[in-house]
Amino acid sequence: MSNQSESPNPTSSSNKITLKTSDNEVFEVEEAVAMKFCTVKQYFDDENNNNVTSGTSTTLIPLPNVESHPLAILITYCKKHLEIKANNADNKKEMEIDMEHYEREFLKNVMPQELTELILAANYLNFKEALDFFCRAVASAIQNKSVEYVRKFFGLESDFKPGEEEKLREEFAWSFEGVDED
Amino acid sequence: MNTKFGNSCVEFGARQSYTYCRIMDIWEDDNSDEMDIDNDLMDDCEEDSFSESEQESNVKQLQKLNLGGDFHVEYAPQRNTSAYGSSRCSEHIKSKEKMGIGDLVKDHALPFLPAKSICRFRSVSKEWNKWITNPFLAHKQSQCFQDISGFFCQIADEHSFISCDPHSCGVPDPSFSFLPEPVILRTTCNGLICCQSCIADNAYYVCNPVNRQWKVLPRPNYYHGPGSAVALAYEPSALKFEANYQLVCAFPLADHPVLYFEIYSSRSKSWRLVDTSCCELGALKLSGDGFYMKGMVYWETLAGLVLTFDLTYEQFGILPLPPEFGPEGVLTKRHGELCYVLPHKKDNEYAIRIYGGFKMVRKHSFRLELDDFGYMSGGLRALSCLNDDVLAILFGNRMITYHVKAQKVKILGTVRSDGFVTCHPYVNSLVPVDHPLVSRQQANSRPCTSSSLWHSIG
Repeated sequence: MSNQSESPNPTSSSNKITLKTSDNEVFEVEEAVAMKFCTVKQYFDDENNNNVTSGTSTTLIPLPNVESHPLAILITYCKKHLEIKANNADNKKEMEIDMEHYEREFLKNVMPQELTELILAANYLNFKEALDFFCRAVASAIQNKSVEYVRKFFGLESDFKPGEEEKLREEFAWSFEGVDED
Repeated sequence: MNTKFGNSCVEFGARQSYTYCRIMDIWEDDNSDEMDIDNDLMDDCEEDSFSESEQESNVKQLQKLNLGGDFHVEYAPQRNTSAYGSSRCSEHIKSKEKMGIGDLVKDHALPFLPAKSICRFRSVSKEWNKWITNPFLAHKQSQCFQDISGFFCQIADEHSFISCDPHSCGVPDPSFSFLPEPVILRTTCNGLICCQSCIADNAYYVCNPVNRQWKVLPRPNYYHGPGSAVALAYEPSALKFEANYQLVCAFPLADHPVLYFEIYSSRSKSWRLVDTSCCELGALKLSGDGFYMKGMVYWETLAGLVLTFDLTYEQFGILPLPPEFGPEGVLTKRHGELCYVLPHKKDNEYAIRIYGGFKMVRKHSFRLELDDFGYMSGGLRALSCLNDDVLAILFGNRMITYHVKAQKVKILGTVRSDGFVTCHPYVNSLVPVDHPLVSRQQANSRPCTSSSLWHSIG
């Protein structure tokens, strides 16, 4: 997946790729960053294969399902991700420590509502590391919460038939003991 | 097919999405493959001829689906790029559009939760309930969630569970009353628990208290009497759908100064004596059951050494313990490495020393800031590292966690103070003990699995 990771410093790679969000904002990002978004990479590769001769023309890639706000955050996250990787190319452990530290700091500035936007965007862009990271964050945000909180948080509704939910709650009564108030 | 399993954890109803269908199709194919394996196994009963190639084909099938990290076929790498034009792209966009945040969280965030939260969230919606009963979720969760969630404590034959976070981590039945006979807890590993019957034949059980699944192991070929010590080795694997574990027992034979190793493998379903035996003086008297980490088993010895056993090469080795070793120290994992955590008391100050490396040299030492708990008394015993920053310690009869950097103390609970309590670290995992596909086979051949018992009760 990271064929282009040879570039030691991602910010110095020359090719730029232009991304256009659903709210018509245009982002110009380094190729190394854009290639972490598998959806973009796939589109980009397809385009290149279709017109081999066009070479390094600046391509505009539309992202009809991503808004500018989460995309900006994802790009920042991705840049930092690549930077940490490049800085610790020969020390995996150091890299993990740096990454963990960065991610912890990163989450301090992210609101729960943003987290859901980021998950949707990361999923659409098929940016696996970010999707995993944000899902981990959501998991730790909801693990102490009640069923009602989770429904409200994600806009879900109970579709159980009358009695079904009560039966489940009875069967798993132990898992409802000691839950945070919403 | 759902009724046959008889297990409430495995129900499959209507299929919602294409992805889900595909997975379930493969799952069914997989199912038939596994049945073949079991048939082979029963036909020739040769443990090591255990159809490696079929196992491989299973693995390949799983890899094809990219099951390890992700269950979504959309993520499968597409190599033949020229064939996909913009139509492919729009198709891709469409499939992504259908996924709402609820679905994404269900698929990608639930596996990071401890089992108690997951069981609670069955009540969120039908869709969540169905996904949570899917064996793929259990498989993924057992890889994604590997934090120590609490401790099983045992004094005499009384069991209790102390949770690191009672909101999210817990088990329905910490007393193991779901097992058919009274047991003592021997050892734990990544969510699996090895118990041993207190009566008659001292049978070993491997169980998961979350789903109350268990399996009784066949009788070992040798007598594991006093002086023997076991260790459970289980590594959650992306490629192995079934939980493959090994129970290693180091046992002395009569009065000979030698330790033998007998291993039970869940793959071969049998015990096997290892060729090598250990005659090293100082390594023969083990002080308790062992600890598994990254392919190695570690036992502390009474003489202040660590007996190691490499499960890949089936070789033993010896590591030193620091000279100050004692029953209050513990072998545990920190920063992904083996370490020895030893509490130390001087005057009225408590300190923790952490040793590591092949020579078990002191790596780290710090004072325990227990000012707010000055009134607490009693000895200190290290239990485990919960992660790189948090230690679990028994202080008198209170179990506490200590955050090394933040110097924060949290009381988890109290244990009985009228005797020696053993505390086993436990991961709140959904790992299946009895694979539903395998247990169906076993129900026919083996009368004592949990699922067959379920049949006779239900």
